[in-house]
Amino acid sequence: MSKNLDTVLALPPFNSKVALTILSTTLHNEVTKTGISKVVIGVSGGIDSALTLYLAAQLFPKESIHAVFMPYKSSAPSSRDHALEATDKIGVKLNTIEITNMADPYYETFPAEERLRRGNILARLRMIVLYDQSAATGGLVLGTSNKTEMLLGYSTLWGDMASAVNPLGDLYKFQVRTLSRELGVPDNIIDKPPSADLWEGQSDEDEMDITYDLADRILYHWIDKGWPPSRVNAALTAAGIDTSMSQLVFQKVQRSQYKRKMPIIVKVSETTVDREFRYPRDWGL
Amino acid sequence: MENAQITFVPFFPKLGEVEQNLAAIIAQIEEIQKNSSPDIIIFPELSTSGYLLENLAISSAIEPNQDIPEKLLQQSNSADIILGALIKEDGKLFNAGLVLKEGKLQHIHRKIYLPTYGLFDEKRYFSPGQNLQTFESKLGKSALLVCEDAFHPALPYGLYARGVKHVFIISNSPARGVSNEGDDIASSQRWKRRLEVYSESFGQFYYYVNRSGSEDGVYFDGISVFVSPNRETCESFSDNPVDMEVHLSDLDSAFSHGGPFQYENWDLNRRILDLAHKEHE
Repeated sequence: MSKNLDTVLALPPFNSKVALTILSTTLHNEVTKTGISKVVIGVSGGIDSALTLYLAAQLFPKESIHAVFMPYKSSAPSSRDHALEATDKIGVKLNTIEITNMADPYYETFPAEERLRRGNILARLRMIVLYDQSAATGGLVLGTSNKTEMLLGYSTLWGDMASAVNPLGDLYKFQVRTLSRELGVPDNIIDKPPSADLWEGQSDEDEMDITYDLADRILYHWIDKGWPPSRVNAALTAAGIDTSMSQLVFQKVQRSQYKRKMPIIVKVSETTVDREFRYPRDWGL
Repeated sequence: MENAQITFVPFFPKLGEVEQNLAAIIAQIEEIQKNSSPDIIIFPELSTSGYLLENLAISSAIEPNQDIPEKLLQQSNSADIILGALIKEDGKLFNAGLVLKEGKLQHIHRKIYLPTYGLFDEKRYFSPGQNLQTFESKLGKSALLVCEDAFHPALPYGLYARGVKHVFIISNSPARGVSNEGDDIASSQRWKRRLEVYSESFGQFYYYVNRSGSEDGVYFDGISVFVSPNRETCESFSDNPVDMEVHLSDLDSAFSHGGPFQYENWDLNRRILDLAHKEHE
C-alpha cells in the first residue's frame, strides 16, 4: 500500500511572519540604498506579480508604485480583471500598456509558429517596456519569479526573469501562496490555475508536465534538505508515484542552469569579470 | 560591581566605506553616552567595513595601531568598547574583534574559524587567527569570539577551563531558514540554543550581538542576546541600541542552584582529548 506524500515527502512548515520580516526589510533596503524610492512592477493578473505588488505596497507610498499591465491581444480577458482587482484593492493605479502593436509587426516580419518562440517574444517585449518605464519613472524594476519556476527553468531568459531586485526568488510556490493569503491578495487570483498567459488557455502545470505541489516537494528535499536523488526516488516510489517525475525535475533544473548564471565569458586576461574581478552588487551603495 | 549595563548596538555599516562607518560608530556611541552610562558597548563583527566585501576587503582594512580615531579611543574612557573590524597586519587581513578600554586598544581577537562554505567565503580573503586570549573587562575575566568561533565548542570550553565568566560574541550572521516554528529566524534560534547550552554547561555569561540591515539581498536580523548562567535569556531584535542589565550575583545564584560546571573532571577531560589526539596521529 502506498504511503501518503505528506509522510514521505512532506512540505516543511513555513514561518511566514519571519519570512515577511526578511522580505520587507531587505526589499526596502535594497531599493532605497540605490537612492531610488520608486518601483516598477509588471502586473499580469497572476499570483506572483500580485504578491510582489502587495509586498511593495507595504513598503512604499502608493504613488511610488508604478504597476504596469501589458496585455497582448490573446491574453485572457480575466487577466485584466484580476490585475485591476489586485491594484484596486490596495489603491495602486494600474497602467495598461498594450504590447500587441509591438509584437505583431515583428511576427509579420518573422512569422513564429512555435508557441514557445511566440511566448518568449512577448515575455521579452514586456521586459523592454518595464525597463523603459523604469527609466521614464525613475523606479527600480521588481522581479516576480518564484524559486520553483526559477529552478525548473520555467521562465524566459532576459524576459520575465529580468529585474533589479526579486523578492520572490527564494520562495517556493507553496510559500508564495501562503504569503499571498496573509497579505490579502484576492482569493480568485490565488486559487486560479497558474498560467504565464502567453497564449490562450496556457497552463503552467500542463506545460511543465508536473504540478507545483509535487515539484515543490521534490525540489525542497533535493535542494534545501540536500537529499540525494536516490532518496527522493525512494520516497516517490513509497508514495506510489513514478520516479519519472523526479527525473523530470532533476533534468529541468540541470538543463536550465544557464538561465540562472551570467553569460559565459571567455577568459583571456588574468582578471576576468566574475572570476577574479569580484565585487558585491552593493558596491558603493 | 554588582550590576552592569551592557549596550548592544546592532550596527548597519555601509559596505566598504570605512571612514563613514567609523564616523557613524563614534556618533552612535556619543548618542548612547549622552543618554546613559553603560559599562560596555558592543558592536557587531566587521562594523567598520560591512560583510560581503569580496575584492573590497583590502581597501576596507584598518591598521589597528594607527587607524582607530582618537575620539573613539577617548570614548572608551567611560565604557569598554567592543568592536568588529577588518584589520591589516604584516600584509595579512584578519576579521578581528577589538576591545578599547581606558582610552587604549586593550585587546585584539583575530577570528580563528573562517567559514568558507555555503554563502561564506572568508578564507578567500582573511587569514585565520591562531590564539584565544582573555582580557579584563569592567566585568572581570572576559573573552571575545567572532561569530563562527563560537560554533566550535572547544573555544567556550577552553574559556570555561580558564575561568572566564564573560564571553562576548560579535556576529554578522545572515538570516536564513523559515521552516521552523516560533518567532525567530531559524539561524537565530540555533544561535540562542547554542549560547544557552554553553551558559548552562559552563556557568558563564554570554553576550551576543548580530548586525542589522542587508547586503546584496542578504538580511541580518539585528538580534542581541544576553544569557545568564542563572538560566535566563534576554533577546531583542532591533536596528537601534539595546540596553541589558547584568546581575553579577547570577553567578552565585547559578552556583547555589547547582549545575554541571561545578563538578568538572578536568583530568578525565584532558585524558579524553589526549586520546583523541593520539587517534588522529
